[in-house]
Amino acid sequence: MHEHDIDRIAAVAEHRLSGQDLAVALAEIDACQECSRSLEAQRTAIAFLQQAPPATLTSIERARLHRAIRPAPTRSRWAKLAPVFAAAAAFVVVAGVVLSHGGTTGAFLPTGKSLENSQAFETAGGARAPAEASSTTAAPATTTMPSSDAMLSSPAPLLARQADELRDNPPAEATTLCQDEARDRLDEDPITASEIDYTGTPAVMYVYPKTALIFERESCVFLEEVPADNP
Amino acid sequence: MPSDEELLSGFLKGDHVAFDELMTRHEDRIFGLCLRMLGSREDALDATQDTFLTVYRKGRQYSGRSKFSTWLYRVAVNTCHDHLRKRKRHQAIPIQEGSDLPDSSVGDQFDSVEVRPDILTALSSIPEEFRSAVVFVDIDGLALEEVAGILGVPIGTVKSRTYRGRRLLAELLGNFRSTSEHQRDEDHA
Repeated sequence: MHEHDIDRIAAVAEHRLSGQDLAVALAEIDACQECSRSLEAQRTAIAFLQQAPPATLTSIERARLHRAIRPAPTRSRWAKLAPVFAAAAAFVVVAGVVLSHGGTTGAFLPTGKSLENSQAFETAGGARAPAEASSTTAAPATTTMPSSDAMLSSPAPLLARQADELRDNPPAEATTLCQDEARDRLDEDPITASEIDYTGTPAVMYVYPKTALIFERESCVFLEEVPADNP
Repeated sequence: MPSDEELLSGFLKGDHVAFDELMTRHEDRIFGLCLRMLGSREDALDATQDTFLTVYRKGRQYSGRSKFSTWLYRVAVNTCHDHLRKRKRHQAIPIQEGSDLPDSSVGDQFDSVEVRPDILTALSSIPEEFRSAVVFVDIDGLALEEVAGILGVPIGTVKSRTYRGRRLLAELLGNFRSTSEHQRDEDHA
Protein backbone atom coordinates (compact mmCIF):
# COMPACT_ATOMS: atom_id res chain seq x y z
CA MET A 1 0.00 0.00 0.00
CA HIS A 2 1.32 3.44 -0.91
CA GLU A 3 1.59 6.55 1.23
CA HIS A 4 -1.13 8.00 -0.96
CA ASP A 5 -3.48 5.14 0.00
CA ILE A 6 -2.73 5.59 3.71
CA ASP A 7 -3.59 9.30 3.52
CA ARG A 8 -6.80 8.56 1.66
CA ILE A 9 -7.87 5.78 4.03
CA ALA A 10 -7.16 7.95 7.07
CA ALA A 11 -9.08 10.84 5.53
CA VAL A 12 -12.13 8.63 4.98
CA ALA A 13 -11.91 7.09 8.47
CA GLU A 14 -11.65 10.54 10.07
CA HIS A 15 -14.62 11.87 8.05
CA ARG A 16 -12.44 14.51 6.44
CA LEU A 17 -13.87 13.92 2.95
CA SER A 18 -17.33 14.56 1.61
CA GLY A 19 -19.27 14.68 -1.62
CA GLN A 20 -17.48 13.70 -4.78
CA ASP A 21 -14.10 13.35 -3.05
CA LEU A 22 -15.57 10.83 -0.63
CA ALA A 23 -17.30 8.87 -3.39
CA VAL A 24 -14.09 8.62 -5.43
CA ALA A 25 -12.05 7.59 -2.39
CA LEU A 26 -14.56 4.94 -1.37
CA ALA A 27 -14.66 3.52 -4.89
CA GLU A 28 -10.88 3.20 -4.93
CA ILE A 29 -10.79 1.63 -1.50
CA ASP A 30 -13.54 -0.83 -2.38
CA ALA A 31 -11.50 -1.96 -5.35
CA CYS A 32 -8.59 -2.98 -3.11
CA GLN A 33 -9.12 -5.70 -0.53
CA GLU A 34 -6.20 -4.66 1.66
CA CYS A 35 -7.36 -1.05 1.55
CA SER A 36 -10.85 -2.09 2.66
CA ARG A 37 -9.48 -4.04 5.60
CA SER A 38 -7.27 -1.12 6.56
CA LEU A 39 -10.19 1.28 6.48
CA GLU A 40 -12.16 -1.03 8.73
CA ALA A 41 -9.21 -1.25 11.12
CA GLN A 42 -8.88 2.53 11.24
CA ARG A 43 -12.60 2.93 11.94
CA THR A 44 -12.51 0.26 14.64
CA ALA A 45 -9.60 1.88 16.45
CA ILE A 46 -11.01 5.39 16.21
CA ALA A 47 -14.38 4.26 17.56
CA PHE A 48 -12.65 2.42 20.39
CA LEU A 49 -10.43 5.38 21.34
CA GLN A 50 -13.26 7.87 21.22
CA GLN A 51 -14.99 5.93 23.97
CA ALA A 52 -12.16 6.86 26.32
CA PRO A 53 -13.72 8.45 29.39
CA PRO A 54 -12.34 11.83 30.38
CA ALA A 55 -9.37 11.46 32.71
CA THR A 56 -9.56 13.96 35.53
CA LEU A 57 -7.82 14.24 38.85
CA THR A 58 -9.77 13.40 41.97
CA SER A 59 -9.91 16.11 44.62
CA ILE A 60 -7.37 14.18 46.71
CA GLU A 61 -5.00 13.80 43.76
CA ARG A 62 -5.41 17.47 42.89
CA ALA A 63 -4.62 18.50 46.44
CA ARG A 64 -1.58 16.23 46.53
CA LEU A 65 -0.33 17.68 43.25
CA HIS A 66 -0.71 21.27 44.40
CA ARG A 67 0.84 20.51 47.76
CA ALA A 68 3.89 19.07 46.07
CA ILE A 69 4.30 21.89 43.57
CA ARG A 70 3.10 24.97 45.41
CA PRO A 71 5.99 27.31 46.15
CA ALA A 72 7.01 28.13 49.68
CA PRO A 73 5.08 31.13 50.96
CA THR A 74 7.00 34.36 50.90
CA ARG A 75 7.54 35.78 54.33
CA SER A 76 7.72 39.33 55.52
CA ARG A 77 10.97 40.80 56.84
CA TRP A 78 9.68 40.47 60.39
CA ALA A 79 8.64 36.91 59.81
CA LYS A 80 12.10 36.16 58.48
CA LEU A 81 13.58 37.52 61.69
CA ALA A 82 11.26 35.44 63.84
CA PRO A 83 13.73 32.53 64.18
CA VAL A 84 16.40 34.95 65.39
CA PHE A 85 14.05 36.34 68.02
CA ALA A 86 13.02 32.82 68.98
CA ALA A 87 16.64 31.74 69.34
CA ALA A 88 17.46 34.84 71.38
CA ALA A 89 14.44 34.28 73.64
CA ALA A 90 15.39 30.63 74.10
CA PHE A 91 18.93 31.65 74.98
CA VAL A 92 17.74 34.12 77.59
CA VAL A 93 15.42 31.53 79.16
CA VAL A 94 18.06 28.82 79.20
CA ALA A 95 20.72 31.17 80.50
CA GLY A 96 18.37 32.21 83.30
CA VAL A 97 17.66 28.60 84.21
CA VAL A 98 21.33 27.65 84.12
CA LEU A 99 22.30 30.63 86.28
CA SER A 100 19.54 29.84 88.75
CA HIS A 101 21.05 26.34 89.09
CA GLY A 102 24.48 27.74 89.76
CA GLY A 103 25.67 27.29 86.18
CA THR A 104 27.10 23.87 86.86
CA THR A 105 25.19 21.63 84.55
CA GLY A 106 24.94 21.24 80.83
CA ALA A 107 21.69 19.33 81.06
CA PHE A 108 19.64 22.38 80.16
CA LEU A 109 21.35 23.19 76.91
CA PRO A 110 18.79 23.84 74.22
CA THR A 111 18.19 21.24 71.58
CA GLY A 112 17.11 21.67 68.04
CA LYS A 113 13.78 20.11 68.92
CA SER A 114 12.86 23.06 71.09
CA LEU A 115 12.86 25.27 68.06
CA GLU A 116 11.66 22.75 65.63
CA ASN A 117 8.03 23.69 65.79
CA SER A 118 8.60 27.40 65.89
CA GLN A 119 10.12 27.85 62.49
CA ALA A 120 9.97 26.65 58.96
CA PHE A 121 12.82 26.52 56.52
CA GLU A 122 12.88 27.82 53.06
CA THR A 123 14.72 25.72 50.55
CA ALA A 124 16.80 27.31 47.88
CA GLY A 125 14.51 27.83 44.92
CA GLY A 126 11.58 26.63 46.93
CA ALA A 127 10.32 24.29 44.23
CA ARG A 128 10.22 21.19 46.36
CA ALA A 129 9.33 23.00 49.55
CA PRO A 130 6.08 21.98 51.12
CA ALA A 131 3.26 24.43 50.92
CA GLU A 132 2.88 25.42 54.48
CA ALA A 133 5.05 25.00 57.49
CA SER A 134 2.63 23.05 59.60
CA SER A 135 3.02 22.63 63.29
CA THR A 136 2.91 18.87 62.94
CA THR A 137 5.00 17.22 65.56
CA ALA A 138 7.23 14.41 64.44
CA ALA A 139 6.49 10.87 65.53
CA PRO A 140 8.52 9.57 68.47
CA ALA A 141 10.83 7.65 66.17
CA THR A 142 11.51 10.73 64.12
CA THR A 143 15.05 12.00 64.26
CA THR A 144 15.42 15.59 65.34
CA MET A 145 17.29 18.41 63.73
CA PRO A 146 20.85 18.60 64.99
CA SER A 147 21.22 21.88 66.87
CA SER A 148 19.73 25.30 67.38
CA ASP A 149 22.66 26.95 65.61
CA ALA A 150 22.12 24.84 62.55
CA MET A 151 18.42 25.59 62.68
CA LEU A 152 19.10 29.15 61.62
CA SER A 153 20.82 28.15 58.39
CA SER A 154 19.30 26.72 55.20
CA PRO A 155 17.94 23.16 55.43
CA ALA A 156 20.27 21.55 52.91
CA PRO A 157 23.34 21.43 55.20
CA LEU A 158 21.07 20.39 58.04
CA LEU A 159 19.65 17.54 56.05
CA ALA A 160 23.12 16.50 54.92
CA ARG A 161 24.22 16.48 58.56
CA GLN A 162 21.15 14.53 59.55
CA ALA A 163 21.90 12.01 56.79
CA ASP A 164 25.49 11.72 58.04
CA GLU A 165 24.24 11.01 61.55
CA LEU A 166 21.96 8.29 60.23
CA ARG A 167 24.85 6.82 58.23
CA ASP A 168 27.02 6.73 61.35
CA ASN A 169 24.29 5.59 63.74
CA PRO A 170 21.52 3.86 61.83
CA PRO A 171 18.41 3.24 63.96
CA ALA A 172 17.78 -0.32 65.11
CA GLU A 173 14.66 -0.51 63.03
CA ALA A 174 14.46 1.26 59.69
CA THR A 175 11.14 2.42 58.34
CA THR A 176 9.71 0.79 55.24
CA LEU A 177 7.47 3.71 54.34
CA CYS A 178 7.92 4.88 50.75
CA GLN A 179 10.35 2.07 49.99
CA ASP A 180 8.91 1.51 46.51
CA GLU A 181 9.31 5.17 45.66
CA ALA A 182 12.87 5.08 46.95
CA ARG A 183 13.59 2.00 44.85
CA ASP A 184 12.13 3.74 41.80
CA ARG A 185 14.49 6.64 42.32
CA LEU A 186 17.61 4.69 43.17
CA ASP A 187 18.06 1.02 42.50
CA GLU A 188 20.31 0.46 45.47
CA ASP A 189 19.91 -0.85 49.01
CA PRO A 190 19.81 2.01 51.49
CA ILE A 191 21.99 2.04 54.61
CA THR A 192 18.88 2.92 56.57
CA ALA A 193 15.63 4.82 56.40
CA SER A 194 14.12 7.02 59.06
CA GLU A 195 11.21 9.31 59.57
CA ILE A 196 12.29 12.91 59.83
CA ASP A 197 10.79 16.34 60.11
CA TYR A 198 11.22 18.26 56.87
CA THR A 199 10.51 21.93 57.38
CA GLY A 200 7.53 21.06 59.52
CA THR A 201 6.27 18.28 57.24
CA PRO A 202 6.56 14.64 58.30
CA ALA A 203 8.94 12.99 55.85
CA VAL A 204 11.01 9.89 55.32
CA MET A 205 14.73 9.95 54.59
CA TYR A 206 16.40 7.08 52.75
CA VAL A 207 20.11 7.18 53.37
CA TYR A 208 22.63 5.73 50.89
CA PRO A 209 26.43 5.85 50.95
CA LYS A 210 26.61 8.75 48.49
CA THR A 211 23.26 10.46 48.85
CA ALA A 212 19.96 10.63 50.69
CA LEU A 213 16.44 10.84 49.32
CA ILE A 214 13.59 12.54 51.12
CA PHE A 215 9.92 11.77 50.57
CA GLU A 216 6.79 13.25 52.07
CA ARG A 217 5.62 10.72 54.63
CA GLU A 218 1.94 10.82 53.80
CA SER A 219 2.01 10.70 50.00
CA CYS A 220 5.58 9.48 49.35
CA VAL A 221 5.99 12.37 46.95
CA PHE A 222 9.69 12.94 46.33
CA LEU A 223 10.88 16.11 48.02
CA GLU A 224 14.62 16.42 47.77
CA GLU A 225 17.93 14.66 47.21
CA VAL A 226 20.79 15.45 49.55
CA PRO A 227 24.19 14.34 48.25
CA ALA A 228 26.69 13.29 50.90
CA ASP A 229 29.41 15.83 51.59
CA ASN A 230 32.18 13.23 51.77
CA PRO A 231 30.89 10.08 50.11
CA MET B 1 -8.54 36.41 30.87
CA PRO B 2 -4.74 36.35 30.61
CA SER B 3 -3.19 33.98 28.10
CA ASP B 4 -0.96 31.09 29.16
CA GLU B 5 2.05 33.02 27.93
CA GLU B 6 1.09 36.05 30.02
CA LEU B 7 0.65 33.87 33.09
CA LEU B 8 4.07 32.30 32.57
CA SER B 9 5.58 35.73 32.16
CA GLY B 10 3.91 36.82 35.39
CA PHE B 11 5.21 33.77 37.20
CA LEU B 12 8.74 34.41 35.99
CA LYS B 13 8.44 37.89 37.51
CA GLY B 14 7.53 36.35 40.85
CA ASP B 15 3.75 36.01 40.69
CA HIS B 16 3.15 32.55 42.13
CA VAL B 17 -0.61 32.90 41.79
CA ALA B 18 -0.04 32.96 38.02
CA PHE B 19 1.68 29.60 38.26
CA ASP B 20 -1.23 28.17 40.23
CA GLU B 21 -3.57 29.40 37.50
CA LEU B 22 -1.43 27.77 34.81
CA MET B 23 -1.53 24.50 36.71
CA THR B 24 -5.26 24.66 37.22
CA ARG B 25 -5.80 25.26 33.51
CA HIS B 26 -3.71 22.36 32.32
CA GLU B 27 -3.41 19.77 35.09
CA ASP B 28 -6.33 17.59 33.98
CA ARG B 29 -5.17 17.43 30.38
CA ILE B 30 -1.59 16.66 31.39
CA PHE B 31 -2.81 14.04 33.85
CA GLY B 32 -4.99 12.49 31.13
CA LEU B 33 -2.05 12.30 28.74
CA CYS B 34 0.18 10.75 31.42
CA LEU B 35 -2.52 8.28 32.43
CA ARG B 36 -2.90 7.04 28.86
CA MET B 37 0.84 6.91 28.33
CA LEU B 38 1.67 5.18 31.62
CA GLY B 39 -1.49 3.18 32.36
CA SER B 40 -1.70 3.80 36.12
CA ARG B 41 -3.06 6.74 38.10
CA GLU B 42 -0.21 6.68 40.57
CA ASP B 43 2.44 6.85 37.85
CA ALA B 44 0.40 9.45 36.00
CA LEU B 45 0.19 11.64 39.08
CA ASP B 46 3.96 11.38 39.60
CA ALA B 47 4.59 12.27 35.97
CA THR B 48 2.15 15.20 36.15
CA GLN B 49 3.97 16.45 39.22
CA ASP B 50 7.35 16.11 37.53
CA THR B 51 6.02 17.93 34.47
CA PHE B 52 4.90 20.95 36.49
CA LEU B 53 8.08 20.91 38.54
CA THR B 54 10.03 21.11 35.30
CA VAL B 55 7.93 24.07 34.23
CA TYR B 56 8.45 25.66 37.65
CA ARG B 57 12.20 25.26 37.45
CA LYS B 58 12.81 25.71 33.74
CA GLY B 59 10.05 28.10 32.74
CA ARG B 60 12.69 30.50 31.49
CA GLN B 61 13.66 27.98 28.84
CA TYR B 62 10.32 28.47 27.09
CA SER B 63 11.30 30.42 24.01
CA GLY B 64 7.86 31.52 22.88
CA ARG B 65 8.33 30.05 19.40
CA SER B 66 5.41 27.67 19.95
CA LYS B 67 2.27 27.94 22.06
CA PHE B 68 2.85 27.42 25.77
CA SER B 69 0.51 24.42 25.70
CA THR B 70 2.61 22.81 22.94
CA TRP B 71 5.75 23.26 25.04
CA LEU B 72 3.96 21.96 28.14
CA TYR B 73 2.75 18.86 26.27
CA ARG B 74 6.29 18.28 25.02
CA VAL B 75 7.61 18.42 28.58
CA ALA B 76 4.89 15.99 29.65
CA VAL B 77 5.59 13.52 26.83
CA ASN B 78 9.30 13.55 27.62
CA THR B 79 8.53 13.05 31.31
CA CYS B 80 6.31 10.07 30.47
CA HIS B 81 9.03 8.54 28.28
CA ASP B 82 11.44 9.02 31.18
CA HIS B 83 9.07 7.23 33.56
CA LEU B 84 8.62 4.38 31.07
CA ARG B 85 12.39 4.02 30.74
CA LYS B 86 12.75 3.86 34.52
CA ARG B 87 9.96 1.31 34.73
CA LYS B 88 11.65 -0.89 32.12
CA ARG B 89 14.87 -0.72 34.10
CA HIS B 90 13.16 -1.91 37.26
CA GLN B 91 10.79 -4.54 36.00
CA ALA B 92 10.17 -6.77 33.07
CA ILE B 93 6.83 -5.83 31.53
CA PRO B 94 4.67 -8.95 31.19
CA ILE B 95 3.82 -9.80 27.63
CA GLN B 96 0.18 -8.92 27.17
CA GLU B 97 -2.26 -11.11 25.46
CA GLY B 98 -2.33 -10.17 21.82
CA SER B 99 0.82 -8.10 21.91
CA ASP B 100 2.39 -10.32 19.28
CA LEU B 101 -0.58 -9.55 17.08
CA PRO B 102 -1.07 -12.97 15.50
CA ASP B 103 -4.52 -12.19 14.17
CA SER B 104 -4.44 -9.91 11.18
CA SER B 105 -8.07 -10.38 10.24
CA VAL B 106 -9.00 -6.90 11.26
CA GLY B 107 -12.29 -7.02 9.43
CA ASP B 108 -13.49 -9.44 12.08
CA GLN B 109 -14.89 -6.88 14.48
CA PHE B 110 -15.75 -7.19 18.12
CA ASP B 111 -19.45 -6.89 18.68
CA SER B 112 -19.95 -6.76 22.41
CA VAL B 113 -18.57 -4.45 25.02
CA GLU B 114 -17.53 -7.12 27.46
CA VAL B 115 -14.94 -8.68 25.15
CA ARG B 116 -13.07 -5.43 24.68
CA PRO B 117 -9.89 -4.79 26.59
CA ASP B 118 -10.00 -1.53 28.48
CA ILE B 119 -8.44 1.41 26.75
CA LEU B 120 -5.44 1.71 29.06
CA THR B 121 -4.58 -1.97 28.61
CA ALA B 122 -4.93 -1.69 24.86
CA LEU B 123 -2.81 1.45 24.69
CA SER B 124 -0.10 -0.09 26.85
CA SER B 125 0.22 -2.87 24.28
CA ILE B 126 1.35 -0.66 21.42
CA PRO B 127 4.76 1.02 21.06
CA GLU B 128 5.20 4.32 22.88
CA GLU B 129 5.65 6.43 19.75
CA PHE B 130 2.40 5.11 18.26
CA ARG B 131 0.66 5.47 21.62
CA SER B 132 1.43 9.16 21.99
CA ALA B 133 0.29 9.82 18.42
CA VAL B 134 -3.11 8.11 18.77
CA VAL B 135 -3.69 9.66 22.20
CA PHE B 136 -3.08 13.17 20.87
CA VAL B 137 -4.96 12.72 17.60
CA ASP B 138 -7.85 10.41 18.48
CA ILE B 139 -8.47 11.06 22.18
CA ASP B 140 -7.34 14.66 22.69
CA GLY B 141 -8.40 15.64 19.17
CA LEU B 142 -5.35 17.80 18.50
CA ALA B 143 -4.51 18.93 14.98
CA LEU B 144 -1.75 17.05 13.18
CA GLU B 145 0.35 20.22 13.01
CA GLU B 146 0.19 20.69 16.77
CA VAL B 147 1.01 17.04 17.43
CA ALA B 148 3.99 17.34 15.10
CA GLY B 149 5.16 20.35 17.11
CA ILE B 150 4.75 18.53 20.41
CA LEU B 151 6.52 15.38 19.29
CA GLY B 152 9.15 17.25 17.28
CA VAL B 153 8.57 15.20 14.12
CA PRO B 154 7.23 16.02 10.64
CA ILE B 155 3.48 15.88 10.04
CA GLY B 156 3.93 12.87 7.78
CA THR B 157 5.48 10.97 10.68
CA VAL B 158 2.51 11.82 12.90
CA LYS B 159 0.14 10.54 10.21
CA SER B 160 2.13 7.36 9.80
CA ARG B 161 2.40 6.72 13.56
CA THR B 162 -1.31 7.36 14.06
CA TYR B 163 -2.22 5.07 11.19
CA ARG B 164 0.02 2.25 12.37
CA GLY B 165 -1.03 2.71 15.98
CA ARG B 166 -4.69 2.41 15.05
CA ARG B 167 -3.96 -0.65 12.98
CA LEU B 168 -2.17 -2.34 15.86
CA LEU B 169 -5.05 -1.49 18.19
CA ALA B 170 -7.59 -2.89 15.74
CA GLU B 171 -5.58 -6.09 15.41
CA LEU B 172 -5.38 -6.28 19.19
CA LEU B 173 -9.13 -5.84 19.50
CA GLY B 174 -9.72 -8.55 16.92
CA ASN B 175 -7.39 -10.82 18.80
CA PHE B 176 -9.12 -10.17 22.11
CA ARG B 177 -12.40 -11.10 20.52
CA SER B 178 -10.98 -14.26 19.04
CA THR B 179 -9.58 -15.32 22.39
CA SER B 180 -12.82 -14.55 24.15
CA GLU B 181 -14.90 -16.35 21.57
CA HIS B 182 -12.56 -19.32 21.72
CA GLN B 183 -13.12 -19.47 25.46
CA ARG B 184 -16.87 -19.20 24.98
CA ASP B 185 -16.81 -22.06 22.48
CA GLU B 186 -14.89 -24.20 24.92
CA ASP B 187 -17.38 -23.40 27.67
CA HIS B 188 -20.24 -24.50 25.43
CA ALA B 189 -18.51 -27.70 24.37
